[in-house]
Amino acid sequence: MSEIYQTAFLKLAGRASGAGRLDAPDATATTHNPMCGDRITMDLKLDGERIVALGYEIRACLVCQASASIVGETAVGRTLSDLSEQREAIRAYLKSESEAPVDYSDFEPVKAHISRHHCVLLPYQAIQDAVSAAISD
Amino acid sequence: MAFDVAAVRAQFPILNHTADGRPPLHYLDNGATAQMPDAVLAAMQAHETTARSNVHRSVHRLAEAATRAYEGARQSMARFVGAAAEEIVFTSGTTAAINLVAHCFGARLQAGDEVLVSVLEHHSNIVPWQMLRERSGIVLKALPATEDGRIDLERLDDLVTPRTRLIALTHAANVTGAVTDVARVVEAAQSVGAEVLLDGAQMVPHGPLDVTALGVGFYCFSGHKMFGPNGIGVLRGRSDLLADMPPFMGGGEMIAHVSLDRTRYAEPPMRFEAGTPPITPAIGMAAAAEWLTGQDLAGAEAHLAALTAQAIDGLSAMKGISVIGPSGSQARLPVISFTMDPLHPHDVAQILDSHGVAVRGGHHCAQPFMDSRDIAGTVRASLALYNDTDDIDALLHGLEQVRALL
Ligand SMILES: Cc1ncc(COP(=O)(O)O)c(C=O)c1O
Repeated sequence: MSEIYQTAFLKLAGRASGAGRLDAPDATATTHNPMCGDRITMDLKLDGERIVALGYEIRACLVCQASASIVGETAVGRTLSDLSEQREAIRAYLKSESEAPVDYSDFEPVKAHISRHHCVLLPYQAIQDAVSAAISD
Repeated sequence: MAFDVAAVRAQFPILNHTADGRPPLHYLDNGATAQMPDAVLAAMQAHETTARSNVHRSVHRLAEAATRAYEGARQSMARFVGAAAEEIVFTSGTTAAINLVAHCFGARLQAGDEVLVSVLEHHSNIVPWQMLRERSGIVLKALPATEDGRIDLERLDDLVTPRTRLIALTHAANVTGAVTDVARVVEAAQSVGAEVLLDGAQMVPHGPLDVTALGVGFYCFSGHKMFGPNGIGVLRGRSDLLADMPPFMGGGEMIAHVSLDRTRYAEPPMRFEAGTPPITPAIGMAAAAEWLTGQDLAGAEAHLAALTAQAIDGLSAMKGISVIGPSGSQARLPVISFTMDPLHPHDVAQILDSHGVAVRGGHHCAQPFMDSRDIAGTVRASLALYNDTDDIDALLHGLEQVRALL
């Protein structure tokens, strides 16, 4: 049986925390995973650097959905630089260069599947894309 | 006599190699890359150990042997597709072959000239034409797909115009397995004096063909999908077309004479093969073509049609599964795409992998088609002649496990 799809992981994906679009977001972008065509549209409301509300619409695999759920549960109240740091920490974790960041311990079996690493990071990429799009507007 | 699949399987070391503790391999991702038989591996090993050298350059014994082997490979590929050796350009694969045509045939096109593709094309037969559109203002049009995943040739009448210069279509669609009715395409092209390019990447693993009889100007395919190595492919271009095309890349091998002021280019096919070519891969690809030609191809076709029917029947009986593509066995390859509602193709593929079943999940480099269906992708089982009923049973059983888990 594939080790990725354990009960806790499936529950996390199933919660779809934070799913749903925001009205009048300050920043929004749709980001695609070039490997598989998955996409996530990320909406943010910002108070300066701080995220005050977040919503998203997702068409993606369970790995990406689970990661998006964590974002939905933890991003509000944090700053954009916190989230960039989190993204780097996840990247390092997936490459086995460091321990699991808080909340990501259920992703341990994903580390072995290099083709899925991008799925974990996609919600973070979407946040960055949304912010870049807002700045360039 | 029935097709002897066990005898075929015995020739593929990777199918008989079970890694420690892993389930046996059910390799159903042949549309991405097929495996290599002993005959191909041996031909490359023999070349590397007895004749490795550069080609068309030195006069010593090894160099002559390498040149003979490389030019022999060209002749084998010419026989395989029913063309003349001078019409065979070795490239690094289908993608490189199509890009070569987009650059060199494309160099003769004017702003407003039209290239017609289809929504079922692999990205490698879409993006080079978009790049040509950027460079020279051609108009790019696309045939839609029918409900059952074929190129909708009914639309040729309104999409082919007097400005159409090239119709570039897949010979068989890598997502749905639908085989294109080439005669109809050629007729439409001829009615306006256009050329036809076929992407044969998925078609050639099923045996030799006759491009001259098909009546197409360009035919492109890859070694690694037809039981040969990767890093090698073929562009077959009709001789008058190649003769009229400027070179693609500049360098060694493609010249007739170089001075610092001016270079005269070699005749085709060398004009299009700048630099040291992939010599051993070409030899491997030719060995694959010969190996394939020597198989019981009629038997293989019946064998694969039966496996395809077994798979489609099994899939159709499972709740939530929709086969994307032709439902019958007519004019289709053993390539079966499906969705498993509400699951994501990568999750399905990942769990199948844990049961030893290798399939591909995703968009299969055919995003325009996926978008036309509003899906992210499909799960695709693509079969080769060494697959057997155990492989299909493992697929269907694996899908039941997926259902139970997710
Ligand atoms: C129909 C089709 N065309 C083109 C390609 C590209 O082939 P390659 O990657 O070998 O250049 C593929 C395979 O991926 C294919 O299936």
